[in-house]
Amino acid sequence: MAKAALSGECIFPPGLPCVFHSERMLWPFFFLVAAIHAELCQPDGENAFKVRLSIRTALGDKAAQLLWSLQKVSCKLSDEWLNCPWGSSIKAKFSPLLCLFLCIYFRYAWDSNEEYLFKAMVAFSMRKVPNRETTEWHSSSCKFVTEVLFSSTIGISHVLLCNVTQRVSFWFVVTDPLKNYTLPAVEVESAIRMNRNRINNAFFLNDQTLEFLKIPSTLAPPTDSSVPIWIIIFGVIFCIVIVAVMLLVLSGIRQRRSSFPFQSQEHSIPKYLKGKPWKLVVNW
Amino acid sequence: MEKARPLWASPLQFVFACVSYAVGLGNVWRFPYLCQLYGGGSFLVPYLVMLVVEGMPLLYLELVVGQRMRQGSIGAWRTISPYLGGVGVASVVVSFFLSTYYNVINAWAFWYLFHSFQDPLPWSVCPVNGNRSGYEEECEKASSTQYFWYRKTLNISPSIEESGRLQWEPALCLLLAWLVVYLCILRGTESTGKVVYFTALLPYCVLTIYLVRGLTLHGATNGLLYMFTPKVEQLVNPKAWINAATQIFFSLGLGFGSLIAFASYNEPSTDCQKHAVIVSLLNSCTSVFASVVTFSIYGFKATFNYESCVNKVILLLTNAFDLEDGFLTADNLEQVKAYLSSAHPGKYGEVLPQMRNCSLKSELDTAVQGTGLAFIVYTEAIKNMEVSQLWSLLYFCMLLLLGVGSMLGNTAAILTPLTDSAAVSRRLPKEAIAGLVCLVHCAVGLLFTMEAGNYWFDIFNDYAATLPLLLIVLVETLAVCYVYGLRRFESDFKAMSGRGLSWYWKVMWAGVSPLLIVGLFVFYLSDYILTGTLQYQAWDATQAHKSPSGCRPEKQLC
Repeated sequence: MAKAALSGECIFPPGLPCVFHSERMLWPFFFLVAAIHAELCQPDGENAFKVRLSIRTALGDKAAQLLWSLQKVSCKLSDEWLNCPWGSSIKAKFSPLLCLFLCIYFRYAWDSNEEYLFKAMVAFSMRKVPNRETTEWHSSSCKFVTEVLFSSTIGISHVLLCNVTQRVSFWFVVTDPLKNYTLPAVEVESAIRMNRNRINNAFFLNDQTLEFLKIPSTLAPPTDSSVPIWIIIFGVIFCIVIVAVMLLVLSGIRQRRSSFPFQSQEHSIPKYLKGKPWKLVVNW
Repeated sequence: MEKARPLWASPLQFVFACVSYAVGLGNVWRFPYLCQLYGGGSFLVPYLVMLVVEGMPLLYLELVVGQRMRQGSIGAWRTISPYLGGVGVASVVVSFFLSTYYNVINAWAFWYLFHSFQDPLPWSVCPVNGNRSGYEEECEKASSTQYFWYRKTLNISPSIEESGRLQWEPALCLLLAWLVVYLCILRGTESTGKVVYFTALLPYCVLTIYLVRGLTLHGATNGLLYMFTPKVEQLVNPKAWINAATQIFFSLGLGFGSLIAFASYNEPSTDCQKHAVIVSLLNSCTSVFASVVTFSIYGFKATFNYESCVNKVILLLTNAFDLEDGFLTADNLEQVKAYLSSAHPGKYGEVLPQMRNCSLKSELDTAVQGTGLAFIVYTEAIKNMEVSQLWSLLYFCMLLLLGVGSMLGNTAAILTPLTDSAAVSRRLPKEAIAGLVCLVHCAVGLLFTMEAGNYWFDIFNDYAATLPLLLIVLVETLAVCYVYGLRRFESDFKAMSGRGLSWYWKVMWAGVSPLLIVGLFVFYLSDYILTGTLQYQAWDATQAHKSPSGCRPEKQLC
């Protein structure tokens, strides 16, 4: 393309197909779009990320502990109604109401609504990224064109999920609203990293239970105060001990000085009385 | 002019002093280890036999000598026979070595105590590395508690030859430890007598609190069952009996001269037979009590590690095979593993090398003693408890109380002969003598705060006191029974206290105990000779574990 511009020739691209206004032609068009979209989201695809959730590990344990401590009540009804999978693995029987309460409060099943929330969170993260500018050579107008991708145009429909397993794990990609390709992995990664906390909170999970497989989590910075705590406590105890030692030593010196005048009296005690018990001296 | 000898304010102070001296760190970190090695509950049999046959008679002998002679070890033995003053000097020298390295443990306990005020505890998390991309490598390879001990506390060098620099942090803690000991001994029995109320009683309070907490921990019963299940075949193992005898011997602190020193401050009419029996029984009961606490904590730690290991395997399999979250539990793990290995052998084969074999028994089998138990294993258990700062504080306070209590006895063994000797006490007041002794100890103890200090500590711990003490106590027993004469000693005793000596003590002193000590002495001597080149375990920072490092023949350290 660059060569053609220098020589003064313009290469005109082949004409774009006409847009048919007939409604009957729209259905195959939708299928075409869906098929193209499906191709974009593939396991191990370009710019695709695998997400893994461990809902039960994060939330089920709290409930399981509560249940174990409440002694054996039955749970058949709520098992079937809410699709609580624990009933099969936990042999105890629980009361329907209690199990219902715990299932609702603590746990949620991964369904299409949760997927919608996930897509919303990813779209939200992408919208927070500042607008992207890309400069490209446009062969149709023979000049450089700057295209701006406004982040606010990214919507839920641009986040595609595929391959949802029972684990729960799935792959997702974010497509460009203007064109039919996926946004670069680097951008998606930085967007997710910046909003990781919000995404985790939306699902009551944390970095370990909601994993984005190729996106490392940022470790918390070390909280170092300027003076380590141990030195402060050491200083306090050191000062207390030094003061106590000083007090004892000084009081010992004072005691010795005050008992000094009595020592001269001892010299006047006759030798034959020294060492005898005090009783004898009094009698004598 | 004659100065009256200072006395204990009450016989209770004397008992507490002996108890706080005898009940020391060995009860907490050596006895549980021996119990685990030599058959759990059945180790109590040789232990109690040795207590009755060796511990009580020798303890009683030292107390009687001290109370009768009313002097420190040098003066007491010189009174028994002018040629035996050397026994006293030997006791003082061994006490000097012991005091020098024992107070370093108190310094480490202070260090951990001061660091217990942080949230989270510094040994519970690995520090982040330079570019905040991960954790420090050494910490990742070892565990956070080991990293804190070897790198942050000791800053250990790779071998004993590389002494490194003096570490100012442990040095400051050592200075503080010696100041605290000085504070307790500077007025003699007046100050020591009051301090021993705390150092004797408070550790029991903390141990009781820990007992209650330990028994309610998840997995504590595993540890207790493991420990107390008797392995009766160990009763015929001679090493069990030898170790029981050694443990009783060193746990009671015989031969250092401390007991003689303490007893010399007694009224002559004190009934030290009763005291000897009480102190030795209390010491043994405390050992058993402490080992119940230790094993419930061991059980908790082992169960915690085992469950973490199982959870890691579960996570690995769940992720590799995209199984439903929560489907795999500890109960069905084996069945699912069998199913997966048969249904998807290829994928299972890829995952297999990463899977660790988790075994509760192997976690419990890791028997640890000494500083490793106190500062690595216990801290690892504490960091997993709730409100870990409180437990950590309590634990290190207890270690400090036990350590300082023993130090009082050790320093008394050195100070009493010095204050008894007219040459020294005429020139200096007792505060100054105590100050000088503490200063010299502190200066020499700075050796243990260098980077290679822990290796020197191990050498002192293993070799400074074992053989000398056996020899000293042997000579003591033979001196009293055969040089001074048992009959003369008995009549002296009757004149002093108004009571007779039971035949049991006489038989033990004259026959059984010396034979036992000779046996122990011969065993240890032959053990040293047969071992050949001595080895020590060095910390390898690159691999982050201990590896044996042989001594080179040209170095005279070995």
